[in-house]
Amino acid sequence: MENWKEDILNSMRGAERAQPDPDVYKRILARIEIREKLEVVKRPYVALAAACLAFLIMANVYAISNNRGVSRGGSSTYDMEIANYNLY
Amino acid sequence: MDIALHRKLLEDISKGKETALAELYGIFKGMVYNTALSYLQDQHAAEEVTQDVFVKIYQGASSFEGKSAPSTWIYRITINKAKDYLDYQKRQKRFGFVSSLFPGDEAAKPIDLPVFDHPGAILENKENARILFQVIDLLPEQQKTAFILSYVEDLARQEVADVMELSLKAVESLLQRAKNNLRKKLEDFRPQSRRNK
Repeated sequence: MENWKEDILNSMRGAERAQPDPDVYKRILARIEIREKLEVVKRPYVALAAACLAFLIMANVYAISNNRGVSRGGSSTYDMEIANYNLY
Repeated sequence: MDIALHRKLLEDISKGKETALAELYGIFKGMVYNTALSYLQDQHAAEEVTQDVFVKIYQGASSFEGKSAPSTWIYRITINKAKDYLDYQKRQKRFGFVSSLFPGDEAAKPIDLPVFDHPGAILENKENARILFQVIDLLPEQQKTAFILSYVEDLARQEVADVMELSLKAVESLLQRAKNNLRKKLEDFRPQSRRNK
């Protein structure tokens, strides 16, 4: 019984290496080519996305800085209105 | 193994030389495919993993630092890709289980695991090798990796340790546990005639 187990455990000793189908290398090259094409296609989109993001950030900064001015103006108008209703 | 040549080929691949990839493929295709086949026990899956490995080598050749031998690096990629493939299959099976909760679904049918015949096994050992691969598949992942690298790929213990990034002692312990587990599991596989002896 123990010998049988040892025979099983060592049954791949001296075995030949299995070889892949001859077409596998062609498929590897095809995959590399597809990936490279995808990379080329992706690059302008990444640049466009970065430009859009930069534009959005700039627009937000501009809007926030302008809003501050508006709110300051609003507050002074409000103060004047309050002053007009002052009871003496 | 000509380590200097392998390093040169990797350097050329990192520069985009396709002929270097073809040469490296010629040298390592058997090693990669055989390891993947032993791990996955399916020729189609092993071919898929072989493709993944060489695409990874092509893309990552520039990141090869040369700390280990190129063959060690390639073995490591192969094992990782084979594990990724198995994880993907497991996820598919889990999805299949969820689908099987709904009656009338195709996924509800039980899956029969095919018996694997390694094409490289010597004719007189075919039957034993078939049993071996059935029990190898029942081992925990680390033990399975160590056993395949040592007993199927015939690597020296130190090489197995380098591929698995473990100490020599850890690999020896893994192999001991793997063999003990395999012996226990073989009890269920022994032929009736031997069982009665």
